[in-house]
Amino acid sequence: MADRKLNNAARRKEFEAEALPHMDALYRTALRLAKNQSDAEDLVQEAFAKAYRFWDKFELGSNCRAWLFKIMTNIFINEYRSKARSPLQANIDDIDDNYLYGQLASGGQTENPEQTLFSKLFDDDVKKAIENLPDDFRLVAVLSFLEGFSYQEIAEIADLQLGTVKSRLHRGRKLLQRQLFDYAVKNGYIKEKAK
Amino acid sequence: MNCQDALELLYDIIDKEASEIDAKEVQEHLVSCRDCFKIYQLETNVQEFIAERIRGDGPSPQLDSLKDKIILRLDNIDNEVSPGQPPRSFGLIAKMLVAAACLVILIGAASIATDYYREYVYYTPLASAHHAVHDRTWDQPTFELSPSYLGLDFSNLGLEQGFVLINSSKEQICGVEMGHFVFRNSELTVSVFAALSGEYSIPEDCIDTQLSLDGKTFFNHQSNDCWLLFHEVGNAVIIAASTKADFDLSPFAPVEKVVLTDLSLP
Ligand SMILES: [Zn+2]
Repeated sequence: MADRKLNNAARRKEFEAEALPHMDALYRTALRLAKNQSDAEDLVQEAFAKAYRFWDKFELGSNCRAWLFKIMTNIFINEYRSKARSPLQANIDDIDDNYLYGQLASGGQTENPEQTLFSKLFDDDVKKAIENLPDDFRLVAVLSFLEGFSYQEIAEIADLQLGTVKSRLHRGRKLLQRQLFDYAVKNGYIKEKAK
Repeated sequence: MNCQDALELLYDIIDKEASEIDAKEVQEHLVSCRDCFKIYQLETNVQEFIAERIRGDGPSPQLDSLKDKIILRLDNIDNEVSPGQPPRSFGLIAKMLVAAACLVILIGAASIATDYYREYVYYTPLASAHHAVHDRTWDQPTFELSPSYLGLDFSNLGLEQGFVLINSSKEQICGVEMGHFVFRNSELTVSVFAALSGEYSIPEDCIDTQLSLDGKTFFNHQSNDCWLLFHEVGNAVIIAASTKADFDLSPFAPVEKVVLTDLSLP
């Protein structure tokens, strides 16, 4: 598809109508990705600047939100993602599937044992657990949990295979559940299951 | 449906990705299986809890000032001499794309792909190599590379499998000049990029599998149904991709510096 060759005024008008309304969502995700306000603001600004430069190539009527997330994700991967591997990554495969269920539901005495855990955890505990995820897992988790993108959309946004999206989400979930449980035990909210 | 089948579909169901048939069968299983029902219930609650808590900031007071900053950036871009032009390092890729006469849009009906995506996505060597083997036809080959390029002999690569060098050109990727060598045999195409290692380093996301050959470390990275190989030899970084998902690319990984021969093959 050829450039649409818009003049400045027309480009600006379209961009402000189509792209800018997604700023809140981009910023919300950027905060979870970059982990601090100033990097998150930079990330969103870079994404909009890049999107604006390429706006003539954007196909009006296609999914603008996903297009913007793809641009931001690309910048995040190339410029913000930390080079170090997360220490959490080492022991993912040791974590059982349905980890919280295994830890909480053993006695079967209460109907929803997880409710006790939830009622004790603060928003910040959950955000910290998300932020502790290795960057690659955090990216797919945030796109899924926070933005509700489908597996296929995430695959396109992050340039991953569908299977990779699913496995990263699955492993991200395990790490999240493990962290939330450990956090609750450490703070005495719940008792660890007797081995 | 048994318990194992039901639990395998757990996250597909929670993420609303399961087919209607699967969802119905799971539903039927959960009615009769208390254990699976409890797992589904807990996992669904955990998912809702996490999603709700990470969404929970409410509108941020920073958003107004962020919007002002963005508007300022847009003003600055409008005031540039040639607005709408891609940054310089994208230029050659754009040409590559025009040269590839028919671009196959790989992504389906719900596609969010545009030409922009192609241009944007293919600005890394990894993605360009993938693009080169999947989308480009190479019916007008060039052999423009100086034989001394990086001091490596590329013409012998893959010989035992009948590969012939069908194109060698210089391409600008990420603002770095790279040699691009394309090989083909009766079955498939292999694309090899080479750059000075100081200019381009192996990206962090190539850690999916790591293997060693002759004491060198390789990173095999699966992306979009093609295997990519990265490694460093001498002063070069080599990136190779093939059209076949499980094709062993190690013949395209020169392990030592060798004397160059003429690259302008028949
Ligand atoms: Zn069951």
